[in-house]
Amino acid sequence: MRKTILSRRTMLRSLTTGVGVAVGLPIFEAMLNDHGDAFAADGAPLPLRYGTFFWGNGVRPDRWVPNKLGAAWWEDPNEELVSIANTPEVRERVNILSGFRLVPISGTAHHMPRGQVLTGSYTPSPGGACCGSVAGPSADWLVRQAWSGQSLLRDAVDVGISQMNKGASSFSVSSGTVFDDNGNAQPLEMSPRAVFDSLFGNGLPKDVPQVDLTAFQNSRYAMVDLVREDAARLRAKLGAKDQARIDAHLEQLFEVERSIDALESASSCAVPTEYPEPADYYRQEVMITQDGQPATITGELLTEKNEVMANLVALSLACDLTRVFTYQHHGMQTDTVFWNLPSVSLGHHQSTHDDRNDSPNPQAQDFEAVHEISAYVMSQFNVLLKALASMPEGSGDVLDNCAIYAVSEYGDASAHSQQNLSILTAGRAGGALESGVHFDGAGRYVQDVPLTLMRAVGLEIDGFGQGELRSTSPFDAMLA
Amino acid sequence: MVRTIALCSLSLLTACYAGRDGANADGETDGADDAPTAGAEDGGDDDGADDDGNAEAAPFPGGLRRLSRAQIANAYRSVLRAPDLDLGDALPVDPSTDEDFRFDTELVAFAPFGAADVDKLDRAALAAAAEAFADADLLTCAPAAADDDCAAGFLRDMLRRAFRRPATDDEVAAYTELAVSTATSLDDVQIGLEFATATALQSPWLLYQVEPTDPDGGTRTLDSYELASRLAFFVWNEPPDEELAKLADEGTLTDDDVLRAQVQRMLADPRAAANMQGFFRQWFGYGSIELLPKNSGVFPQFGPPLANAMRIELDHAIDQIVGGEDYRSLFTSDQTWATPLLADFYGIEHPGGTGVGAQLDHWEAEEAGAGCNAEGLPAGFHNLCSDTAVLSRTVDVPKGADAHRISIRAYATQGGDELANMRVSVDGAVVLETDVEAEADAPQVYTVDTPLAAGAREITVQLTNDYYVPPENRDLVIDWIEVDELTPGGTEPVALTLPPERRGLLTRAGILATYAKPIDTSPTTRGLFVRQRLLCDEVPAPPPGVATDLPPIGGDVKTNRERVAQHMQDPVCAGCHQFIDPLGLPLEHFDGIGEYRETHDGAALDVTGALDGVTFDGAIEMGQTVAADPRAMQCAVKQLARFAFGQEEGEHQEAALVELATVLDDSGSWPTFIEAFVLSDFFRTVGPETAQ
Repeated sequence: MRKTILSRRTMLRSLTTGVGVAVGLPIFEAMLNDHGDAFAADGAPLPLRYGTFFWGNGVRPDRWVPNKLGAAWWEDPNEELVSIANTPEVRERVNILSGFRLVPISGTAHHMPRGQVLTGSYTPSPGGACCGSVAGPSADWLVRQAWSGQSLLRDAVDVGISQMNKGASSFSVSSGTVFDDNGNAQPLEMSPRAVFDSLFGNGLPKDVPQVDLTAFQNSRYAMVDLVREDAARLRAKLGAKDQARIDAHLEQLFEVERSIDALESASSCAVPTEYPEPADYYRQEVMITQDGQPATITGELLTEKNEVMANLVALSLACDLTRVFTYQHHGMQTDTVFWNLPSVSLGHHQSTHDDRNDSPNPQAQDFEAVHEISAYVMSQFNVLLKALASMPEGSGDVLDNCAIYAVSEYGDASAHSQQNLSILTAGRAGGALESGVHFDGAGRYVQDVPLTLMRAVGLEIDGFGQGELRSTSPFDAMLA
Repeated sequence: MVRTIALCSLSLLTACYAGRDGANADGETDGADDAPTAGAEDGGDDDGADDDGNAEAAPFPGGLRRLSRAQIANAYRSVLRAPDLDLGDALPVDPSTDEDFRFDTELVAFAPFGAADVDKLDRAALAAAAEAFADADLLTCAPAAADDDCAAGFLRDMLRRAFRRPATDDEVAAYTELAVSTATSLDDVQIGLEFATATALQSPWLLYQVEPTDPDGGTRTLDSYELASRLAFFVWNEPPDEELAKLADEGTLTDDDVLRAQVQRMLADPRAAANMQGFFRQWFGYGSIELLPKNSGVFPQFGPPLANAMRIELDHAIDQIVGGEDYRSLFTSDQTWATPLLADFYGIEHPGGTGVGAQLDHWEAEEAGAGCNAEGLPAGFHNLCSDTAVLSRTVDVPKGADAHRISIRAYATQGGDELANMRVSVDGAVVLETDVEAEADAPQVYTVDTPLAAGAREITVQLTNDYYVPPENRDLVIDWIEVDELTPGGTEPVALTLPPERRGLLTRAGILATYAKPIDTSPTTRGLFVRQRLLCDEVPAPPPGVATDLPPIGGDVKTNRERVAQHMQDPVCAGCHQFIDPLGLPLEHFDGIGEYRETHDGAALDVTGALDGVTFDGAIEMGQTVAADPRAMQCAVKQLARFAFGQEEGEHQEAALVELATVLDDSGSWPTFIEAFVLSDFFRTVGPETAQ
C-alpha cells in the first residue's frame, strides 16, 4: 500500500487522544519509510529520548542482583527484579548492571554518592560539615541542552512521585535529582495535574470558541514582550547582582514563547477531557493493618500516582512534546513511608539502618522491609517501562528509542557501601544499545554508565563529570 | 574509611562550633559593654569594617527578594480582588534544601525562577485572570473599548495593586496598548483587559520585593511604598491592603506615629496571628507532626488524632505568646490547651471527658423539691419532702453540634447509701433512667449523651424515692445540672494545668515527638534542637565516614545515656556531643512520642544536663535555664529576622539584632517587640550590597 507523506504537524493536528487510552500517536506510520525506521520525507531517523529514573536508599544487593550473568538475565532473576523479569514486553530491553562502584572519595553519606551517580561531581563542605555540594550538571541536563528546541514543546519533563521531603520532620531530606551547569538542584513537578497542564493545557480561552490562532499567538507574544519591558524598567534601578538575576529570569521566558509556538501542534496532542485525579496524592487517609488491627493513617498514594505519572511521561515522549525526562520515585536518603507494604512501618532511610539494632524485632523486620521496598520500587519502574512500551512508534515502540539510566545513590544503603551500586538501563537508544543483558562492571566507576548512554543517543562528548570524578571511558560492552 | 576518621578527629577535636555564633557559644554573653574588644577576631571580611576591626553596623542589603509561593498567591488574590481564589498546584513550588533547617522565605528569596517556573507562572496567571474576569466583581464598570475611561481606570488600579506602587504613565500606556491590540485582534474588550492583567501577574514588579540599594553605596531609607510592602508581607504574608496603600500614597506611613498605629492594627488582625504561627511552626519544626514516621508497634497510640492534638497544643502556646503573654513562659508555662486525647496522654483530667465542647447551660439547683419549706434543709434540689420531686428548665440549643451531654451532680447529706430513681427527659421523652446512689461528701456526676434538636428544649429531672427508703433517710441532693455540646471525635481542647513533670515548650509532646526517632528518643536530635534552633549556636554535621549508629541496648547498656556515652569517649565524636547531648538527655523521661516514663524499660534515668557550665536536673530546670539565657531572646530575634528578610544575618547585622533583643528581654512581650522591630531603623532601611 502506498504511503501518503504528511507533514508531521498536519498529522499531529489531525489526531486527538486521551491519556488513559495509550494510543500513542503512532509516529506516524504514514510518515515513515518502508522499513518504519526513519522519516520518509527526509530520511531523518526517529527521535531518540533520554531518561533518568532515580530512587533513594538503594536495594538489598543480595536479593537484587540477578543470579544469571550475561544475556537473558530474567531467566534466573533475583527476588527484587521479579516484576521486570515477568514482563516480556519490557525485560528484553532492560540491562542490569552489577559490580559498578563509586570513586572512593570522602563526603557526606548519601549526598556524595548522589552527586557521583547523577552528575559525576561532588565537593565536600569544609571541615567535614554536611552536606557538600554537587558541582556540575546531571547527565539529563547535558542532553536537554544538546537537544534544546528539537521537541515540540519542552526540553525536558522532570517529575517526582514521593513528596516525603515535604514533611518538615527532622528526617526530611532532599529532592535534588536534576542539576544545572552550576550544580543547582532543579525543581521536580510532583503534581500530576501540573504535569498535565504543562503538557496539554494550551491556554486557549475557554469562553472564546472561535479564536484565530495566529491572532491569539500574537497577543500572547505581546504579553511576554511586556514582561520584558517591565523587567527592563526594573533592571535600571538595580545593582549589578540583581541585574544579573533579572537577566536570568528573562532568559527563561523563552520557555513561555515556546509554549506559544507549539500551540497548534501541542493542542492537537491535547487530551480533550478533564484529567481525573484525587485532589491530593500526598495526604490521603489510607487504611493499613498493623498486627491484624486495621488503622487509618495519613500517607501517600504512591502506586496510584506512579501509574498516572508514568502514563503522562510516556505520552509526552510519544507525542514528541519532550525528549528528555527525569523521574524521581523518591529522593536520596528520603524517609518515604511505604504504607502499602506489609512489613514496612518506618521510613525508607530509617529502615535501611540506624535503628535496626534495637528494633523490637531486631534486624529481620527492617531488612525484610528494605527488601519489600526494593522489589516495590522496581515494580514501579516497570510500570513506567510498560507505559513506554505501550506507545507504538515505527516498527516498534517508544521504549526502543529511549536510553534510560535507572540508579540509586547506593546499592547497599544500610552499610553506605561505595561498591556494588544498583543500576539498570532500559531502552535500546534506537538500536545503539545492547539490551536484555546482566553486565558485571567488575569494579568500574558508575560515571561510565551515563557517559555510555549519552553517547548512545548521539551526544558527541568524550567525558562526563568533573575533576577526579570525571569518566572518559564509556562501557563499550553495552554498545551494540 | 580510616583515612576520613583520622581527618575528622583533627578538625573536630579542637572545638565543636564552627559557626558565626562562635562568640556566643563559648559561654559568654553578648553584653558587649563590658567586653570592648569582643568581635575583634572576626576580621575576615574587610568590607565596612571599622578601625577596631568590628563590622560596621548595617541593615540587610537592599535588592530583590523573590516572593514565596504563598505570597505570590496572596498577591494574585489582591490584584484580582478575589480573596477566595484557589490556585491549587498552579504556582511554582518553592525550592527545598538538603541542608539543615532554613525558613521557606530564606530558601526562596534569592532562588532563580527556572524555565519550568516561568512557564507555570504564565499559565497560572492566564487561568487566574480568566477566572477573575468571569466573576462580576472585578470590573466595576462596563468598558466599551480597552482604552475608554472605564478600562483606563481599571488598568491603573490593577497595576497599583500588582506593582504595590502607582504605575508610571509609561507603564499604564504599555499595558493599555497590549489591552487594545489584544481586544482588537481577538475582538473582545474583556479579553484585552484579561491579558493585560495576566501580564501584570507575571511582572517582576509583582514577583519580587523591590528594595533597591542606595546608588551611592550607603544605607537608604525605604520609601512609603516599599515600607508598606515590607510591613504587609512581614506581618500578614500579603501585599498591602487598601488602608496601607492609602497611607503609602499619602506618604504618611513613614511617620512613626502612623507606622506604630498600623503595626498595632495589623497585629490585632487574625492574619498576623496566622503568619506568626507560621513562623513559629517553621522555627520549632512542628508543622507536620502527623507525618512523623513512628513505629506503630512501639507507639500504637500515635496517629493523626493524637498528632493533631499535639499540634493544637503547640499552636495555642504560640498564640499565647503572640497575644502578649510573657515570652519566657514559652519555656516555663504550666498551662496546656489539651483535647481529651492529649489530656489522657498527659495523664490529666479533662473536665468533660471525651469530646465536651461548648457549655450551653449550667445551673445551680436552688429550689428544693415540692413540699419543702422547712428551714435547715440543704440547698439544692432534693427529695427530702416528697416521694417525687421534679425540676424543669428550658435550654436554648443552638444549631451546630450533633450531640449533647446532660450532666447532673448529686450527693448525699448523710452517711450511708441511699437510693432513688432519677429520670431525665427532654421534651417529655426519657433519655436517662438510673438509680442514684450517693455517699456523703462523695458527689457523683451522672451523664447522658443525647442529641438535642436546635431550639428551646425542656429538660426535666425527676427524683423518685425508692419505696423502702424511710423518709428520715432521704438525703439525696442535686446541686447542679449542666448541658454541653459534644464534639464528634473529642477534638475540643480546653485550658488545663500540666502535670508536674511538664513545664513549657521542651516538655510538650509535639516537640518531643518531632525530635525523636521512630521507635525511640534521640538525645542528640533533641540537644541539637536546643542548641541550633533555640539558642542559634551552630554545630557542624558529623564528619563523613563516622558511624552514627548507637550501640544497642543490652547487657550493661540500659539507657540512652549509656549509649551516647560512647560518643563522649570517642575523641572524634566527643567535641560535639559534649556540646549537644547534655541538652537532650534531660528529656529522657519522655519517650519517642513524648509520653512520660519513669524508667527506661526498668532502668533508672539520670536526667542531669548542662548548658555551658550551668547544670540542671531534668526537663523543667532545663526549660528555666534556657528561658534565662540571653541567647534565647537573641536567637528569637535572629530567627524572626531570617524569616522576615529571607536571609541569615551576618556580622553587620549582629549588633542591631542583639540590641533589638533587649526589647523582648525587657518587656517580655512579643507584640511590643514586633512593634519596636518594625519601628527600628533596621526594619526601615536597606544597606549596601556589601553589607552581607
